[in-house]
Amino acid sequence: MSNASEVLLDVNELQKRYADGTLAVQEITLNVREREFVSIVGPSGCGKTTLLKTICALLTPTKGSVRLHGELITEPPPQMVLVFQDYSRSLFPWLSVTGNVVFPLRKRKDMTQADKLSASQRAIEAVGLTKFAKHYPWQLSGGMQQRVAIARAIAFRPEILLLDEPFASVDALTRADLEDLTLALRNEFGITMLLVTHDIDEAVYLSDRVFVLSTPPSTVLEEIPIPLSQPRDQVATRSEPAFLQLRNHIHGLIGKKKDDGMKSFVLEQTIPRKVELEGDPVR
Amino acid sequence: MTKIFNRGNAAGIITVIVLLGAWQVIAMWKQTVYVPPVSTIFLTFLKEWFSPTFHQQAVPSLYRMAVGYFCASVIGICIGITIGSFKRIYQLLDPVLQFWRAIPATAIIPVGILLIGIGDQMKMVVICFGAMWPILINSADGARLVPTERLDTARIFGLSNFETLIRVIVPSATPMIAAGMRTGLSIAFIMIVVSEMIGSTDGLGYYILQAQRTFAIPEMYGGILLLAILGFLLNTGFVQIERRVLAWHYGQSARTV
Amino acid sequence: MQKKKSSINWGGYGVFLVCIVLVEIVARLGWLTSYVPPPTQVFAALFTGLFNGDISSQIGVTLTVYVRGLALATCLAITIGILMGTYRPVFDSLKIIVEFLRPVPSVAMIPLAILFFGLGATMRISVITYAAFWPMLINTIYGVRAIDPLALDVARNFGITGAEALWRVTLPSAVASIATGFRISATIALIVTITTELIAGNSGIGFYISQMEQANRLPPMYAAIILTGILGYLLNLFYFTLEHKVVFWTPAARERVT
Repeated sequence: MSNASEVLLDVNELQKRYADGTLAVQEITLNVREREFVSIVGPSGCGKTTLLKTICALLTPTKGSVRLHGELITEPPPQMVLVFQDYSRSLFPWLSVTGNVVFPLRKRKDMTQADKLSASQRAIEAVGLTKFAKHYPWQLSGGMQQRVAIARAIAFRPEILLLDEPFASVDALTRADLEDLTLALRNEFGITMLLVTHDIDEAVYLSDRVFVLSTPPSTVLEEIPIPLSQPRDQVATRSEPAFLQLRNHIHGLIGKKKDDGMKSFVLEQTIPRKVELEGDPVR
Repeated sequence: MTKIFNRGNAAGIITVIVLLGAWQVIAMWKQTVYVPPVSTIFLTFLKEWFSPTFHQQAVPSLYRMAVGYFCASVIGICIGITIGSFKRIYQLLDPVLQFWRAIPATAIIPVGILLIGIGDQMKMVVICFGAMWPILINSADGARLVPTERLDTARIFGLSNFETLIRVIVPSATPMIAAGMRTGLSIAFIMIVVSEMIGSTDGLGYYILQAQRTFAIPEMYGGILLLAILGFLLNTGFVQIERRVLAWHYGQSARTV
Repeated sequence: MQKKKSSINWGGYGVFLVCIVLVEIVARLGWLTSYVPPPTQVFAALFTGLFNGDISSQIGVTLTVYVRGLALATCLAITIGILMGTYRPVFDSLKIIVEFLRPVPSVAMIPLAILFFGLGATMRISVITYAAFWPMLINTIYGVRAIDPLALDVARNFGITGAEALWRVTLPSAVASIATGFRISATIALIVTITTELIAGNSGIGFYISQMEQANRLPPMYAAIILTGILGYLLNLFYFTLEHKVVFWTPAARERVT
């Protein structure tokens, strides 16, 4: 959809080795264009979270660079917000839903108090939690808490949202809701999305492009454009022949890696979620 | 805690009445000096503590304790949060802290008497010293154990280090701080009584020990009863305030447990 | 949690040593009052006291009283705790007394104990027992009440009831909570042991401390205070290790901090 638009985020030969010597990310090159939805998919434990944290400069890369609008990133830039998988840890339990959403705006000098309140109200409305604005996060279900985290992120008006397995801790139905919510928000607020997930179907369903990662130390195995029709629909999109082809292709890619050696085979054995995925092709 | 302790009050009250009644009957029958009848204790209690004695003996104790405990909280929280926010400093100071914490607080009182004498100041200092360690160590742990995601969130939204400290680390640590302060409160109470027993010319600790030594037995029982009531009130008051201030914390743990 | 790391905290011990050296220098320079002797003198006094028996003979006295008081409190607290946790009427009738007596500072009972038992070991044991009783009682009640009803159902299914169920299901389930209570009680028991000796003892480390204070012999006094710290630390370490061995199966026990 956005082939003509400019590159927003440019990740070049990024490498991250931890202080203890573990090589989490070997070498990753990828880019995200403006208003694009890009997914990074790979097996569990392939350093995806590390990759995201390095991209938004929470961690310092050992090699390579991350550029936003062509400028090198060394500190978390205000145009970029990361949504964590574990909402119970990233939300502030002592603040109400509104309190949580307004929280990051206190730093915005360019907004008046009224602006901040209306921005937060709009974000809360966009995720459908207006009725629960005065509740505390722990009074809400898991899916609703993740909505609060997303509302907090979009109220900040970033240009790009980094999503770290944001739907991994909720049940399947809620998950579908949140996926569609994310797509709707992208259209409503014009935010670029970079999603990290281990769920191949989810990546294909949501994205314009998918990068497939290998087992650690991770590299990009393949970049795959997703030419599925817009807007996406949970039933229609997922039954398109192209969808099935794409997901089978990615399964093949990750599966091929699986046979490479005993080590990665053992790794796969410890990941039960994968089995559940393969047992249910048309969700 | 209160959840368990609020049903079936009738049975409890009956037990209390039966026990006190038995005490009264046996004491009147046996006529021993050591165990005066409940009625005598009760009357002595009213006579002693609704009189200037309260002002002379109880008020100094409460004042010393309030000052000592307040200082302990301020120092303990400030140093604890600072230490806990920096992993490296925490590690370096850990053995020193463990050493001080391991010393039974009351053993410090003789040192206090030597260094400062037996005045109000000595008591405030030893109370502060004794109550400070649990508060300090709990605050440090509270600050140290803030989830990484929360700190990362603060960084992503561009909070300065100071703002992160005030708006993220301190609120996250409050449940632990409160736990430390609760322990600190009971230690402060022990410290005031003991320091007044060892080196003082007034205060509740002095009063009950003196009553025992001069064989003013009903007065001694009355003093212990007053200490019991004060301890109960302080503890209950603390828990009530804690429940209100940390409503979010209790709501959250009730949810997850 | 920190102790999980197997590597030794050299930096920490370094800081500890630096602190001691600093106090030594400052004390030698006479910047502190004469009431703070240099640490070397204190350590010298500690070693002399330990070898000629002045201090070491007191350790035995203190530990004996401590262990007897704590053991008595443990037996009472677990028995009453299980009764209160299992039988509703027992709980209802005792709860007001428990709720009122628990926050009473145990040291307030010292004059009463002196009245009944004089200045000897019995007096100290009674106060220690009183002080150590409450945390364990509360934790036992909670432990027993928190038992998964399913566990008892399973036991009943296999025909395990009554005393056997108590022994095989109730106690093991509650043991983690009881262990926590025990550790709190043990800390309190040591404080109270030293305190009773300090106020009204005729032997023990606390008594030694107050004697040295009155005789103005400062290095031995500080030496004895430091010894109480070492004792407290070692006892705590011992219980911590023991607890991890005994209640290894509960996730809470694995995660809990000291």
